[in-house]
Amino acid sequence: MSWTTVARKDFHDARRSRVLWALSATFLALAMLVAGLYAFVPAITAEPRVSTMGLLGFLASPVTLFVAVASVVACYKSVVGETESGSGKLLLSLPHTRRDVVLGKVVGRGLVLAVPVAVGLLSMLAVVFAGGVPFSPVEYAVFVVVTLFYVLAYVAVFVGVSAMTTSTTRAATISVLLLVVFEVAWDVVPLGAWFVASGFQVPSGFLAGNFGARPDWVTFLFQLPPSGAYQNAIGGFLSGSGSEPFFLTNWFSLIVLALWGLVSLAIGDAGYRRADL
Amino acid sequence: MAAIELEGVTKQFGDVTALDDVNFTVEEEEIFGFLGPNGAGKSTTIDILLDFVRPTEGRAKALGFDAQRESLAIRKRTGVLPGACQVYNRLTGRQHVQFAIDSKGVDDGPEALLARVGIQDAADRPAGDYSQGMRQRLVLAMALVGEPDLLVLDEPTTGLDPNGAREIRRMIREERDRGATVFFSSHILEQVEAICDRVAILNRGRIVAVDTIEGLRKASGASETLSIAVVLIPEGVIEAVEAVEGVRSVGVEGDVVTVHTDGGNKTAILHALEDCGAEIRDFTTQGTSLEKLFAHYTKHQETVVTGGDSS
Repeated sequence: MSWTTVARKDFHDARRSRVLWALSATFLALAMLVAGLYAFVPAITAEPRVSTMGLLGFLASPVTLFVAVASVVACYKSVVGETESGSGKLLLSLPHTRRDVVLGKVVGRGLVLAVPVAVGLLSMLAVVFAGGVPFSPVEYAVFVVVTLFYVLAYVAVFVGVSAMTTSTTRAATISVLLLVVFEVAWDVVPLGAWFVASGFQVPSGFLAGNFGARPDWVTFLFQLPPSGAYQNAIGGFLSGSGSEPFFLTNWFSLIVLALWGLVSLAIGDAGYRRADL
Repeated sequence: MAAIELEGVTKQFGDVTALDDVNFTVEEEEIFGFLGPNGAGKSTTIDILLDFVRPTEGRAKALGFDAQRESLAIRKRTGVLPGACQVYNRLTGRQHVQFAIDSKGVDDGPEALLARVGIQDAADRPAGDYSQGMRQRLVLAMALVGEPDLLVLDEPTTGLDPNGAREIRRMIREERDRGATVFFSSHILEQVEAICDRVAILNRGRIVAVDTIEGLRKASGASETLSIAVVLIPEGVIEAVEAVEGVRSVGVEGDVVTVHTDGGNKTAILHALEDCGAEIRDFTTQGTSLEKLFAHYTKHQETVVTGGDSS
């Protein structure tokens, strides 16, 4: 279990980074702020009554973006940074395989991000109780678990990118590009595909936000990136699933998340294995 | 079983040939010096032994294991001081050594190892605050974890003062006496001359010589230059020193006598001076014999003693 040693080393190393402390503080502030707004400024939501479910739904969107950005910051240098500085030779002089290194990095960086996210979500409970928001522990627990799973998936994606590339500059470029595609520009993909599939005609319901008119496969494309999959999973677990096809269910979104992580790691592992240090 | 065996190892980075048909064998329990100017390919050779880079052609083995297929088995029993390596700035010295101990699955104490390399007082400071010499000592402590059968040290005296370099040499001898094989690279000739049983000289990716220090000195006819400062130059001193066997030429400038010699006759020369009535204040060996030897091999690559071919 050599990767556990690498993970422990990496966690101890990364948790002393000021950048990550700043990220933790940011997340804590973000969670408190969002919870405070929800609990104390009723005008901010359209809901007649506050509830845990409402709060978590309200929180999901900022958490999605925060985790994506924080994963890039925490992970883009994780593997290639060691190769570039030369500490990779120190690491691999010891009896670890390169796969141990990649796995250890995912677990180490995953913990580094999971701890502040968990702390932020826990601290938020203070606001929930102070604000008199009815608390339902099951929904809250599901939210925490799914969010941590999402953290792990995104960490795996960017550790994979770091392992695949040969310089930190390139790792940063690819990571930021992925971030922009997934978090900002993704809507173009399902809409574009729908447009093309309709014979380059604007299909009905295209711009009206009439979700009922969307074919299931277009909805699936919307839910394909890690953030889309996470939000669909959260939505499904919190509000219960209807009679949608299996590939639009919350459980399937969890599989999509897992695949993002695993495929990125496989590509990263293959690249790192061939690399000259 | 040989501790290290390279057979026809060639490594190309794009168009650049870093190593060209490198062959040599390091026997068990010897201190083997790997000598060459910067850029000769010393680090690439070490990188291939540890599977950091893969050879384009040829085969490398260490401790009987294939360097590529069985790298983990090699690294379990090998202590490494990588060249130009960086420590983890945010981790303490103790955490570094503990990481090596955990990685190798042994139960050494970090204290003892840090004390052995002389940085126990800095054990709990982040390694980012260490001086270059302390970092070098820290990585050496990591290399010594678990009493490895093979020590691979890339320029181990970089960043160390003469005292530190002497300490490292002492530790290298201790490790050899314990039963370890030591393979170390250097471009500093005195380091190699002082402790090596055998030496390989690498230049531009090719092995130009593998031999004992004595053997290399004989083969190349290298000379040594002694500078001896005396209180007063007595009459007939030049003739007296010239009469010593192995002396090639003698010069006097001010109160310094300069002697070019084949080497190995330092004591006889000093005696000859004293017999003339010269009071010796100081003497230095300027440009050791090995330095000449080194220049000889690296400038005339076609002269090959053993290993490689002379095309």
